[in-house]
This record gives sequence, structure tokens and C-alpha cells, in this order.
Amino acid sequence: MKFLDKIKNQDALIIFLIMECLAICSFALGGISYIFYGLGIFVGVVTILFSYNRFKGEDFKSLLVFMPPMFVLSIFLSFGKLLSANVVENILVFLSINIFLFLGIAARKFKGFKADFVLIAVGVSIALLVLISMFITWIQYGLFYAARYKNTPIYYYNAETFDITKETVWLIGFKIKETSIIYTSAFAVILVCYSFGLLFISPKEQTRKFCIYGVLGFIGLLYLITIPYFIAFQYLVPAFAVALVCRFVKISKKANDIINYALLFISAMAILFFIFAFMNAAGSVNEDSPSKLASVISSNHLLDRIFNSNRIMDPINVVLRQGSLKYNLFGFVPEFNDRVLSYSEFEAVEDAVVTNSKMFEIELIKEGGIFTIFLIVLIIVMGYMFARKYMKESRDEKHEKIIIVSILLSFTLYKSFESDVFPLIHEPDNYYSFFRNPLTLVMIFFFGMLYISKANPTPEKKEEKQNDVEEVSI
Amino acid sequence: MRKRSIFALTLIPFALVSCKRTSELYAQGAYDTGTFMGNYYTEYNNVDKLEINSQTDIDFSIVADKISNPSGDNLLSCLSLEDQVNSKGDPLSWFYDNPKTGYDKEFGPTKCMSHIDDSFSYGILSKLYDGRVHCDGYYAASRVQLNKTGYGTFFPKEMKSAKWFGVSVRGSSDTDGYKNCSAVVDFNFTFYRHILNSKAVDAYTIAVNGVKVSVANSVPHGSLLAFYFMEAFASKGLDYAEICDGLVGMSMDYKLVSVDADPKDVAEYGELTDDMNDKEKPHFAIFLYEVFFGDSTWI
Repeated sequence: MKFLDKIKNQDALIIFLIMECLAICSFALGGISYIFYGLGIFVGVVTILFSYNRFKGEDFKSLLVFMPPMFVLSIFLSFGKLLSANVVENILVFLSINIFLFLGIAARKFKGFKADFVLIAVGVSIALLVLISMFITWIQYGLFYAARYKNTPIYYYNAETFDITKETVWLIGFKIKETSIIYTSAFAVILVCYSFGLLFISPKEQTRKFCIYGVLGFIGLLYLITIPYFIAFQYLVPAFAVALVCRFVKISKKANDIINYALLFISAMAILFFIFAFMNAAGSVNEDSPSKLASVISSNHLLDRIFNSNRIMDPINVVLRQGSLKYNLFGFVPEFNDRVLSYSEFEAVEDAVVTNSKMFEIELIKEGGIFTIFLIVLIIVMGYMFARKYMKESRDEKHEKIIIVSILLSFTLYKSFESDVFPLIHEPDNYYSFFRNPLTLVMIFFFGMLYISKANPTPEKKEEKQNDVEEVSI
Repeated sequence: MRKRSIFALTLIPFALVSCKRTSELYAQGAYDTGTFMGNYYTEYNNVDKLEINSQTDIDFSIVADKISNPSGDNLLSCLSLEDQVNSKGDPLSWFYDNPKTGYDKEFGPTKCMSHIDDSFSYGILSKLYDGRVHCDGYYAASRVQLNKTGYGTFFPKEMKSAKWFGVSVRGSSDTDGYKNCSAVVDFNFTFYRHILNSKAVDAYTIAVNGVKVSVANSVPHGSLLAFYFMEAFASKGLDYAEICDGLVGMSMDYKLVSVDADPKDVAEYGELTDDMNDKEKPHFAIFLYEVFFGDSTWI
């Protein structure tokens, strides 16, 4: 491509475009989704043009492992039944999910790229959004309002009652809207993760960097404290523990293996639990003739309490039941069609759509069907494996690695338990899809950054390889 | 100097604090306790503390028998045709009242105050401005229950003009009896107009006596009692446009005159009283579903 060669400093231009794209997505001008999709696709196409010849053969092999799960998931989510009305938007969503992943993978191919650049671009944009919204919240609600008004939390709007301790105001698009604290605190959680990198930055030698990351983390902390919304902090504990361990503890290989096996065991148990929960829900769709498993669970007091009668499983079971039905296999049916299901069945689907399970993995079932949850579990497991490799082998600086891994870990944990798909308090019919959200696209970019190219190993890895070759020679 | 700057910066949040969204907060279940006696709304929101410069009383009881609760597509008798049709000239239904879907089809959702000005959407009295003119199974969530002393409120904005005033009301009691009867009630509607460069206001009380309201709990429909400002004020030789320009609040109260009750109910439960503090007798209350200021403008 001769004309491309004429552009000087191509790499700097691409890095700049990537930073701009991420910054705009992080600021999340809500409701103007086409801008993010279009921008991401434009930057992605330009990146592909400039980077396709920088991938080696080994890269393609490992990319064949890294990319397909997200690719398949994006098909289910983009073309799932629930949000299938706008075909153009669906295509843009499909393209942008994969392109943001590719941008994260390809970013390091460009000379001069540092993870600091994108971290600061994303962090400053999110901080700006959080600061604006926080100041307006202070003006309209006062400080610590969730604690101050916990005994008189009810206000009336349009004859309906709302709980002031569960909401805040947020800049969405160019409007200030009443939004659930659960939704907005995800941004603050991401910002707090920046402060974990301070453990690896010397305040004397890298004062500016220390201050930047310190301020970003402080803004996130300030937001959560001045509401207050302390529940969010529990989702930061694992990432903080990882940062502390990486900073202060030298883990032996044996301890490392034990941790690995323990996490694998916990994951296996979680997957097993989900399988049982799904089979129980599927088996109890017909209340008059439940399946054997559903009968066993409901007849045992302890199992019934765990799988059925608790406020966490209640909404999850509603979604799982509908997800197990044939007509909802590729996403919940959005409109009544008497050839497919009866009106009472459609009403049950509608009830499931508005049920908020607060787990993004479960909510995906509404959009893309039951297979999405298996894919997302696979992606999370892969994320863990690639994150370990990234922490060990990446050329990124320690603070960059810790911040990226902390953001991904904390965001995933937070959204696994505090995901609000109807965040607009006074507009409860507005469905906010997890994957059709600009902030999620940024997270997908960071996920892509976990990819380590085998073709360009770290100096340690190079030395290891050289040693291996010498041994073979001998 | 630097320490003082930092200290000053930490005070900024306190300077920014205002009470906009926290000025009217309630505990769970306020005025919606599930019990009749616990649901009375008796607040006057400082309207009763206003300094009254002049008081004008107008008896406009001629509209009392025009209170109406038409079914289906029948018209309201208290308003002219032009004030109860939509943009296409089709009659607006009084019988149906879905605030979410009824705009331009149903009277309540079309003429309600929250549609005229969004500032009426806030506060507990937004129940009176949302367009729901009947119970519709929402019970206390759809209405304000009034003692004989009534209630008062300032408007969120100052009125510039209005054509007509209306309320959707019915009666109720805290007994199992009085199921199919009606009550005669005298209403007083007071409007407060601010005076330029003064804290005092002029009060205009329009009395509508002898209004017949249903007391039947099994018929949870409100009836519209309405009148035109022009006619009401003209009866006293007053210019309605001048009065409406500057109205800042209103209050209403009532008096239970008589109940057309089954003697068996009277014998079993006793005579109804409009006084919530009377511990001897069963209680009568007015359920106020909606307040209208038709074709009004606000600043």
C-alpha cells in the first residue's frame, strides 16, 4: 500500500487514534451508540491496514485460540432475538466487539506504544465523567445522602415512589438523568483500580505518573465514599490482594500450583452449580410435572433454600426457566407471535425480560440465548489463563500489568453481582445491554491486551528459548 | 497560604450542597399505610401561614349539579365540548385513564398538570397531577385522602393563565357499610395570588355547595367537578385573567352536609362524620384523585 507508506509516523498516528477512540468510549456519551461503533470500526480498519503484516505465523496460531470464543459470543449477542430489530446496529455491534478485541491485541505492534497511554486516556475520560456527575450529585442530593436519608428515603415522581438512597445523577449523552448507583459505581470501581498501580510506582522517581494515577484512584474513592456506596469495595478486594501479593510476596512454585488448583476447583464447583441450577430451572418450567432433579431439590429443605427459595436465585431462576425453552434458544422472543407461543407464554417471557438478576452472565441469556453463558464462562476462564501469562511474560511495566488485570478482575466481579440492565430510574423501560455499552468495549480492548505474542517474546522468554536451543545443540 | 487554599478547597463541597432533591422525603408507606385512618393527608405546606391581604368569597354553587362521571365515550357535563376533545376533535374518555398510554385518547392523561408542565411531576402531590382520575386498583397510591380541614400547597411555578379548574373526587368511609349511597358535600377552593413587592397574598375562595359524591367503595371512580374561572370570577365582577396571572398556591376544604344512607347502615355503624379526630363516629373522607388547571400556562 504505497499511499500508506507516505504517511510519516504511522505508528504514532495509530496509537493516537486508539487513545482517542478509547477516551471517547470511556466518557460514554450514552444513547449515541453509533458514534462508538463507527469510530471503533474506523480505527479498527486503519489498525488492520497498518498492522496485518506485523503478525507472524506463530501469532495466528495463538490468535486462533484467543479470538474465537469472543467472536462466537459476539454473533449470539449481536444477532440474538431480543435486540434484533435494528439490523444495521446489530452488524455494527458485531464488528465493534471484534474490532475492539483486535485493537487490544494489535496495539503493541506499533512502535512507541505503551500501556500507560491507553490507561491514562481511559482513566482521565472516566474520571471526567465521574467528576461531573459527582459534583452535580453533591449539589442536588448533598454529601453522604444514602446514609443520611436511609430512614426517609422515599420521594415521589409522577405519582410513583422512588428510593433516593439507590440512585444518583449521571451524565448520559448531554443530559443529567437519575441513574442507579449500581450502574454508576462500576465507573468508580475502575478508577479505584488505578490506585493499585501506585504500589509499583516510585513517588520520587516517577512523580508525575504517581500523581496522575493517584488522582484517578482518589476520584473513584471519593465518589464511592461521598454517596456512600461501600458495597462496591468488596469487589475490589481480590484485585487489591493480587496487587499486594505481587508487590510484597514471593510465591513459590508449589504455592503457585496450589493457588491454581484451588481456583480451578472453585471454577469447577461454580460451573457445576450453574449446571444444576439450570437443570433445576428447566425442570420446573412445568410446575405440574417437574423433572426428577427439580423434585429432589424442592423436597430437600437445604437444597430448596440454595437453589430456589432465596432472593438471589429467584430472579436468576426466572431467566433460566425462560432460557431453557425452545423458542428462547437464541435470545428471548421480543414480540408476540401466535405461531410460536401462546400469549400467556409471551407474558412469561416479558416478565423474565424485566426481571433484573443483577448478574451480567445471566442477563446475556436474554439477548443471545443459553449458549452465551457457556461462552462467557469460557472467556472468563481464558481470561484468567491469559492474565497469568500476561503478568509473567508481558513487557509492560509492573504497574501497567497490575492496573489492567485489576480493572478486568474488579469489573468482571462487580458486574457478576451488581449489573443493572435498567439503570435509568425514571425510564425503567430502557434496557441497557451489557455488551452494547461503550464501557464494555473498553474492557474488551483491555482483554485483548492480555494477549502475548509468541513471535515477540520478552527478554526472559528469549533467554529461556536460547538456553533450550543450546541444550538441544549439546 | 498553601494550607489555607487546601482547606478552602475542602469546603467547596459544603458550599455546593443544596436540598433540591431532598426537600421532600418520606419514610416507607407515608399516607399509604393500608389503614383508612392512617392515610389522611392534612398538610398545608405553609400555605396556611400566608399573610392574607384581602379575602374574596364567591359562591359558585350553580356548578354543583354538573359533577359528572360519564362511562364509555360519554361527555362530561361540566365542561364544554372544545375542552374535552383531542387534537383531532375526538372526545377524550373520562372512563379510561392510563397515564402511560392514554395521552390524546383519555381525559385525565391528556389534561393532567404533569403534561402541561413537568415541574408538577415532583412531590407527593404529583399523585394529583399524573392523569389518573380513578382508583384503578392503586388505592392510596392514586389519591390523596382529605379530612374536612382539607389540604394546601404552593404550586411549583407561578400561574400565568388558566381557563378552568377541576377536581376528580369521590367519597369514602371506614365502614363495611354505606356501600351504595351518596353524600352531599360543600367544597371550598381557595386560590392565592401574590402581590408584587409584598409578602402578603390575595385569597379568592370559590365555594361550591351541595355537591353530590358517591360513597360506594365498590365504585372506585372519581367524578369531575369543574368550573370556568371566567364564569366564577365574573359572577363577582372580577377579571379572571388578571387574577389567574400570579396565582401561587391553592387550598381546599369541605363539609359533609348529609349522607343518603340506608337506615340499616346508620343503625349498625352510626352516622358518618367528616372529622378524623372524632373517635366516636365512623369516618367519611374525600378521596381526591386529580387536580386540573385546564389550558394553563406557568412561569
